[in-house]
Amino acid sequence: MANKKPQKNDRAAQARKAAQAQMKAQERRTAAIIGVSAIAVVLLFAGIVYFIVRSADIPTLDSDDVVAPAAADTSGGIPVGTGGVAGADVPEDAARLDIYQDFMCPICNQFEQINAEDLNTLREAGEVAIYYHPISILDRYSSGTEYSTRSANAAATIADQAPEYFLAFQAAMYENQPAENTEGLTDAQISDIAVSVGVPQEVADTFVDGTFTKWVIAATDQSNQDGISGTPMLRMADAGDSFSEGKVLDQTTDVSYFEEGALLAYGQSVGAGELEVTSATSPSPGASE
Amino acid sequence: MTVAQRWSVLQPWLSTVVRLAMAGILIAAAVPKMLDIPQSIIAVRAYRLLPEAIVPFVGTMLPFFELALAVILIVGLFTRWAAVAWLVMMAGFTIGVIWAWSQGLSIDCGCFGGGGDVAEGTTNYPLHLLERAGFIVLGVYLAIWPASKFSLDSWMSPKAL
Repeated sequence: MANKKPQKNDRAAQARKAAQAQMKAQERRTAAIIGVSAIAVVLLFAGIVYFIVRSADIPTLDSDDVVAPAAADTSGGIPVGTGGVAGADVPEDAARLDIYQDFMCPICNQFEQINAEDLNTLREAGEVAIYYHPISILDRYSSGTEYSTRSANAAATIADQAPEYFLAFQAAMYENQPAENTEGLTDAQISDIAVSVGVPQEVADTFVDGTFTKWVIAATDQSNQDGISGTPMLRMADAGDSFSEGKVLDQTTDVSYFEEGALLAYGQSVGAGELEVTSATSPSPGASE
Repeated sequence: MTVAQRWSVLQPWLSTVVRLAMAGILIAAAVPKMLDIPQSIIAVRAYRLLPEAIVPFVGTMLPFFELALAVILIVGLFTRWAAVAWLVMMAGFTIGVIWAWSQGLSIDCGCFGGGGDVAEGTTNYPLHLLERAGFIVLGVYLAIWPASKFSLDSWMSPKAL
């Protein structure tokens, strides 16, 4: 008797129950949409925050807190003039050859063995200005010691403080090149190499300060924007053209610079104006402006 | 059972598999990029398709966007729209690959991390395009038949199933 309720009440209760269930379902729906949208928004927001933090982190060559070697130009290149001194006697209005190297890179060493003397010949003739870009793209191959960055900082320090030893230091670093996936050379070893080619001890002692580390990072980022995606890579511009009017040299269409003498012949032709870098048909993807 | 009946039983299960496969592909694409954002930026730049001003932003945001889309696909919310977003993304990538190929660029697609320029002769554009085509088929299927099992969509409106 007690559990026998009038039918009218029963129906009302059912309707109420149905309405409640519907409301609950609606609430669940809203909650689900809000929840998932929130996750997606948070993720995208995290991306934007990360992007902002990182852009502040990565210096550009014109950042105020980037200390560039005195000789370096706006592309991150260190010119070596006719006398073999970084930043001195750089021929003006000559063609320019930009050489991008990473001290950890074995084929840069090969490139150096094949071309170092030819590059000296080319440089001394004064018809091609040669710019060296010590960049650090191979830090991941030195077991966390960032050998590429440390050695490029050392090269930049020498360009700034003892510019007459820049080329000798570079050659000595390739002679003592560590293998990839090792810790590379220690700062002390790099200093010793520098001193052995004539760099004053007090200059070599400043390598550990990393004065030019930010410049190296900025120059590396700039090189990628200029079409450099590996090392060694070369860019060349005709006489009278600016850096950005030049282009990345292609080994098949421009010059096969791992062949003995090929780069010298090519450089001499361009330097003499007999050959135009930009006349080749291959695109110049590196031009960032 | 008629063919239509069988299909109506099979379709939600197939859609579930497709939905989760797409989410898995996105995660596989996003994680390596997220672990090496600078490389992701280099990969985007290597296509030489976008102006430098937005390259770092696109390279950074891409993995986050992929992951967000993966989350939406896993829970199965707004499945049809998620499939459309996937298709838009794939269209972009496909155009990128075709562009790189037509320009004779030697680049790695960077789809699953890595990327950037590579040595000549190590690119594999036909395979990349085939892969893209497969991904597009998945997206089209899900856009047409978004209803699937274990999804918020079905939980919210059970009648649709």
